[in-house]
Amino acid sequence: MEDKKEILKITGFDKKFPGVHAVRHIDLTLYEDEILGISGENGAGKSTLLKMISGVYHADEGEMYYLGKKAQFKSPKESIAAGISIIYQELSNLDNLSVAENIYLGRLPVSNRLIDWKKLNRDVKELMERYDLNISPTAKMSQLSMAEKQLVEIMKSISSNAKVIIMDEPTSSLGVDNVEKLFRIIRQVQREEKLSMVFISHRLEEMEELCDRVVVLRDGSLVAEFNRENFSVNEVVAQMVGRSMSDFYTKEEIEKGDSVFAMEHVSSKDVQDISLDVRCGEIVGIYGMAGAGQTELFETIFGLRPDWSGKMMFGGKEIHPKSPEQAIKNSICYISDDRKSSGLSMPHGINDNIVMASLSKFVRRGLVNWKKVNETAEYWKRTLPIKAPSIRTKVETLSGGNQQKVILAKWIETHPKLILFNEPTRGIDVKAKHDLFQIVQELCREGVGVLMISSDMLEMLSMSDRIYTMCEGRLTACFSRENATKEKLMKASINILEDE
Amino acid sequence: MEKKKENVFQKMVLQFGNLLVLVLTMVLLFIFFAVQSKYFLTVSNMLNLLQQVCVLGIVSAGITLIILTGSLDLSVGSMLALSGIFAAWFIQMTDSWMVGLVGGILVGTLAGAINAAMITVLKMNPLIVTLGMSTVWEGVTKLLNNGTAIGIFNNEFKFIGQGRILNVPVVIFIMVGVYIVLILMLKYTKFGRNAYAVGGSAKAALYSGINVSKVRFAIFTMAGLMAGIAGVCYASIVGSGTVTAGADSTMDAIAAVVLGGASLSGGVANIFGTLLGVLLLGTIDNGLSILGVTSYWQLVVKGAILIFAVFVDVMRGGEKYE
Repeated sequence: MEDKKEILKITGFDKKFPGVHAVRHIDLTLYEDEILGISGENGAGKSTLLKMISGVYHADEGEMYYLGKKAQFKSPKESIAAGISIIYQELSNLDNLSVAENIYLGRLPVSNRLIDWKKLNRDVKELMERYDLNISPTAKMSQLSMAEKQLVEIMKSISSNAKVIIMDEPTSSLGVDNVEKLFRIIRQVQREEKLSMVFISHRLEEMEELCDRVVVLRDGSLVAEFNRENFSVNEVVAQMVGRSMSDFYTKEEIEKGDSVFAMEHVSSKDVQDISLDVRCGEIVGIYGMAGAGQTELFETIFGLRPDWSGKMMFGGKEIHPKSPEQAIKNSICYISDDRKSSGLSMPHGINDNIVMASLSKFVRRGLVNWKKVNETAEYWKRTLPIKAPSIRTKVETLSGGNQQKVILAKWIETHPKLILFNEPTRGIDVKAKHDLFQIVQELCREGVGVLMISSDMLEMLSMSDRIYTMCEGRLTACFSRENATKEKLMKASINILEDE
Repeated sequence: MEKKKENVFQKMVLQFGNLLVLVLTMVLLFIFFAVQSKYFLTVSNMLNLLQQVCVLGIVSAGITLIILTGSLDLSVGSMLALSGIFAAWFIQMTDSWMVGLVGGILVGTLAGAINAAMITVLKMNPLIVTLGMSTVWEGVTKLLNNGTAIGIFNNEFKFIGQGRILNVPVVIFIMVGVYIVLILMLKYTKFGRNAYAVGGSAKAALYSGINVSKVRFAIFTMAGLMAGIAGVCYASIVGSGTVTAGADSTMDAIAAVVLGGASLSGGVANIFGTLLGVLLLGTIDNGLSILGVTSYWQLVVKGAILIFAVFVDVMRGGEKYE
């Protein structure tokens, strides 16, 4: 390794966002002709690091050297021009254009000021043949499968003479057969073009198979490095979750009642064969990697995805939620992970938002009783507390934590029996997190059941009575509070089963 | 602390600045026209001005609801003409002012409901639906009497547009009535609050159990209802159901609503602001006419004012086209 040329070198990269120290003093070097793997939990800083390299974000501290020279990309455009090609998880293809146009986008061959379609299609055909790919240059992008789109992206990078190709979770939406095909191409590309590649994934077996070297990020820091020779899945998992458990959340013992909600063999196009149950006063966590189907599961329960089979029981009665309206009538509420668009009406006041889901309660003889509305809003503002100049303050001006409290107040006003809580504390500061969980526990004491999705493992372990793990649309395991450990959760959520 | 005070002041300007600018512009226009012409500030011209803006005022009230929920309706002008000519036709058939009044309004409401059904049931784009239907209604208006107007010879019906109560034109009472009902509806009914919520974030409204399609259906139907009332008033004022009625009123109504401080991204609209916007446009029309400026210049000025209002909206941090 020592005699290899350094392609990209990062020293002391550091980035803070309000309330989060996303990347902490990372040193990392990418050598010529190697495939480097980066792994880490959700929120460990992988994406931020990537965006800092590409120029989407700018480092607060630290320097980057590219091909031996100091580099500071102001925008993705500059990094691409320099030869750093990033293939994002959410592909940025133009579906309405042809494969060839996508590959040569922005640099289409021209003769006599007109686009030279013949040359374009011939070049792309040659490129495809070189890698033994059976994709027609003139096919519309929209006709291709996910795997083929990935391959087109790689071809695009090669044709633009990229020196570094970075792939963010390229396999997360591919089946096993396609993953093999993708890996074959990646190896061939890397061999023939003498490229350096970075492969970001949480599928550790794939890393083991593909990467020359793997680094692990945790809480924004680079905590471990493994070479091909000393790589072990167990070691990597241990490093990924190796945070020390803080005693910040204090979970109280709350007596559990009868089952409030249960699912039996529920399947749809997003989730497979889900069976679970929640009891009164219980907080049940669902842990999985991003995109494992947790959000889809919640949306199914809340009536947003009405096509499913199986059975849902609520308080001993069978229910078939077909719309949020019906779910709310059944005393189910859903707090989504996307406060800004689905949680709040941003241009309106705290009072408007708090009564949004329970307005009928405040209507007498057809007219809204504003006195009662404002009293209710004042009560919650004082009790939770919501920090704002007045109950008429527009919610768009509030901090994330206070916005989340407004949403909670809105749902408490509907007297829910089951709360679906998706990423309760995302983007919220420590104090507000503490407040929020106090409120949630208060609700549990009154007999409410809570289903919670969180990508924060510590939050999961410290708040949940039971934890289900989810992987690719299925529940893979269930742990009681006593049995759950970080390693077990991590393994079950990437479907590595415990050796018996 | 001082910095905070300044912020509150800035917020006040942001929140009410639009109405303030509007009132200020009105005052300047009044001074300008009064200096130019002795006739402008007379009681009779002021009543005249109010009477002239009533039709636009009622249509704009409907557009305010539409823009509040984050959509647009380009067909209100042709729905206005359609209602007017049907009112005239009903009167020609029955010689009953009641049939003309109620029938004309119902035709407008029905036209609005057809828009609403396509937008909320079939989930079609409101801009294109109302653009297409605007041409359809224009065609139907012309088909009814082969492209010519239908005269109205019923004096009771004409009283609506031409009569006066306590020396104040009847249409002014109608417009004021419409505005009072809408202000109360938006502030004090569940439907009104839900309309705000849908405009603020349709997704958040849906997730809060509000039937978004139902709210939108009602809003588009109400825009038709308002166009129907306006159409009947217009037919009564001019004494016939004309095919050219409401030709500019779609554009003028949108201009009035945007001038009144509504945000094109939805959730923010002010019925009172709309009324001020309508009065501003009416003042310009009235004043320029008195000064003998050609109507061609009036078009240029009104268009420019709409553009300016959108510019102000973007400057205030409204919806940017990016």
